[in-house]
Amino acid sequence: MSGNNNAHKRGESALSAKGLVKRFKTGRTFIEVLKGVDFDARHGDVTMVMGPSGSGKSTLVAALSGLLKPDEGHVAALEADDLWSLPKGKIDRFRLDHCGFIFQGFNLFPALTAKQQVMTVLKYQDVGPGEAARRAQAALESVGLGPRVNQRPSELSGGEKQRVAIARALAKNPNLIFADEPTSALDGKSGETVIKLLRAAATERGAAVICVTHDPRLEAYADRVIHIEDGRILDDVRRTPEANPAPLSH
Amino acid sequence: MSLALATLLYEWRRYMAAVVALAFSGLLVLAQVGMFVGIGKGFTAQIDRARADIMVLGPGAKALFGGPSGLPRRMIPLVYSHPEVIQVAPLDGSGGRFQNILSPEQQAKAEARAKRGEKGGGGRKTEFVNVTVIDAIPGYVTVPTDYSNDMIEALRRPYSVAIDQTALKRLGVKKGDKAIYNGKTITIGVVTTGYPNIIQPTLVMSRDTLRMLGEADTGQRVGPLMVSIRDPARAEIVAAQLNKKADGKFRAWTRQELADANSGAMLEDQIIGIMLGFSAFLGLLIGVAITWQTLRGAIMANIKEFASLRALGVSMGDLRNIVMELSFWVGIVGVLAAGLLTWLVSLLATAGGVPMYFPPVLIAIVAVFLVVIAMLSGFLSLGVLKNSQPADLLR
Ligand SMILES: Nc1ncnc2c1ncn2[C@@H]1O[C@H](COP(=O)(O)OP(=O)(O)O)[C@@H](O)[C@H]1O
Ligand SMILES: [Mg+2]
Repeated sequence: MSGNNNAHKRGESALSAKGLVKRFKTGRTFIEVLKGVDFDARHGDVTMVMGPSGSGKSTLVAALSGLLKPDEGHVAALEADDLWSLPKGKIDRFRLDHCGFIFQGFNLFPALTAKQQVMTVLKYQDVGPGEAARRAQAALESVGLGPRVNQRPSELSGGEKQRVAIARALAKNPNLIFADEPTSALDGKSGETVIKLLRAAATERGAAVICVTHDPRLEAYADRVIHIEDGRILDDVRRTPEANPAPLSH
Repeated sequence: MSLALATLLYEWRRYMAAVVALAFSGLLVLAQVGMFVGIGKGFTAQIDRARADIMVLGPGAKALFGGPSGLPRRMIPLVYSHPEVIQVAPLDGSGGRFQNILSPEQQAKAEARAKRGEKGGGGRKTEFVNVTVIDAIPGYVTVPTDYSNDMIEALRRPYSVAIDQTALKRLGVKKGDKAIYNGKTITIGVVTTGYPNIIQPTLVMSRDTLRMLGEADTGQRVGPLMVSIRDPARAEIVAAQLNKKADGKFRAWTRQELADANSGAMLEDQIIGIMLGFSAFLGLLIGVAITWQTLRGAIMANIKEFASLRALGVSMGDLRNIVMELSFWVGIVGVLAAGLLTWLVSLLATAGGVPMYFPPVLIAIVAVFLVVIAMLSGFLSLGVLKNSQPADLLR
């Protein structure tokens, strides 16, 4: 798991976007969801994006991560100076090589065991079966699911499923981790486990973690909090993560 | 295990409809061909197991029975005059009404059943039957190769006949029973195996029995000639020489030639060809329609998971491969199900006196056909993958 460790890059810029504009067509009119957003994120940081529902947080993440092309603006991510100028296949490849995603839903295949979920993605990274099994096991152990690697989603709790999803995202050693409301479907205890895992990925491996949430209690884990409202950035505050944040369940 | 296979096994209920559709598509084709080939085998059984090296038929005739296969009696010496010929005997045959005889107890049972309004076997049966003859002499040219000396011995007894086991139920008799053929009492002395005939049951009797029944050929025309020669390996050569001699008045066939002509004629039959083609087309249509819709539904059910793979960078091409692999496995399971279903149907058919026969080539073709149906359906359902928009997972 050393190949992609970017701990040494901590503090360097991992992602930067300028002037992002995204409009959606609704009926005969367009609504502008992103109204010229500038954004950047650094290795080793948990960058928290907060804002009310409908403010454009998810759309921003989609534009930053190569999932949804913005109408205007420019995204530079890692070695890709202009992500959206790449052909589709190259963008897929970029995500495969560098991006991990954690969604509000867990999106696990019902038929696969926890270990198989993780291995499936590794297979497409051309990791051999033996190595994939080893890395999947390690990733699942790192999220505390060592004893449950052969369980299928139907046998796992919500929090465990989200941890499988995290293991699936982390096993490929991504430099960029995008999490969209990763805790909002979970109880406080499970949510805490999840945010701590994301915190650890940033601290220990130097990944740039971009976490969308509207839960103010997660702020305690962030290096930086960006508030967004109505498609515009309101403020951008750097802070020091708390060493012993209050439990989420309180 | 691959994602496709794991999904098929774990969510097998979701894929049942497709598997069943494929199984029935396969059955539709297999059962028909199996039946036709089975019937064809029945027709050629006599030829395949005849002791004759050469069979002489009337010009234009292709089959031993049911057609103008006979020829003038004066052709017998002509065939005999070939120096290598050692035996010549005409086949003879007849046909008529067959009735079983019930014992008083059977009669009572049948009546009780009838009173209760039930249907079913055991009652009085009347059937029209074919009759063919053998000479009840061990090793004689008209005796099929699989007749044991005991069977020949049994047939030598006056009014003793042989019936194939597949016809017993239909005729309502068993070995040792007496029955009535064209008003005269006969005995079921022998039960043969491997001579099915679903069109009309056949009685085999000795030439003398046929004569005693008053139905033997005595006129100017006789049935096809069974010919044995000194060296069976020279059958082709001798047949050619006989044909030269015949000058169009008859045609000599080697056993193999005639068997081929008979089984070929069966499948060449226009109606059968059209029926099979139509069934295959229908099977294709139904199979593709149902399998396609099933696969579509199954993929849609997992579309978010597919989208999450897209998000993590798995390409659309790789997702398509997953779907194609899934449809391939559905096809394979469909082949197994079709095999099972066809096996069950053939058991039923055999029990009902219609033995089926499945040439391996045919099984291979139908198996490939089913996998093609499944993959075609998979190909058609690739379209739903465009719904796997990873941006939709971000909300
Ligand atoms: N595909 C889409 N088509 C039309 N409108 C959309 C689409 N995606 C998002 N929107 C709209 O854009 C706005 C911002 O959405 P989103 O980025 O999901 O907000 P947030 O994640 O902050 O709740 C919402 O008003 C939403 O209805
Ligand atoms: Mg959102």
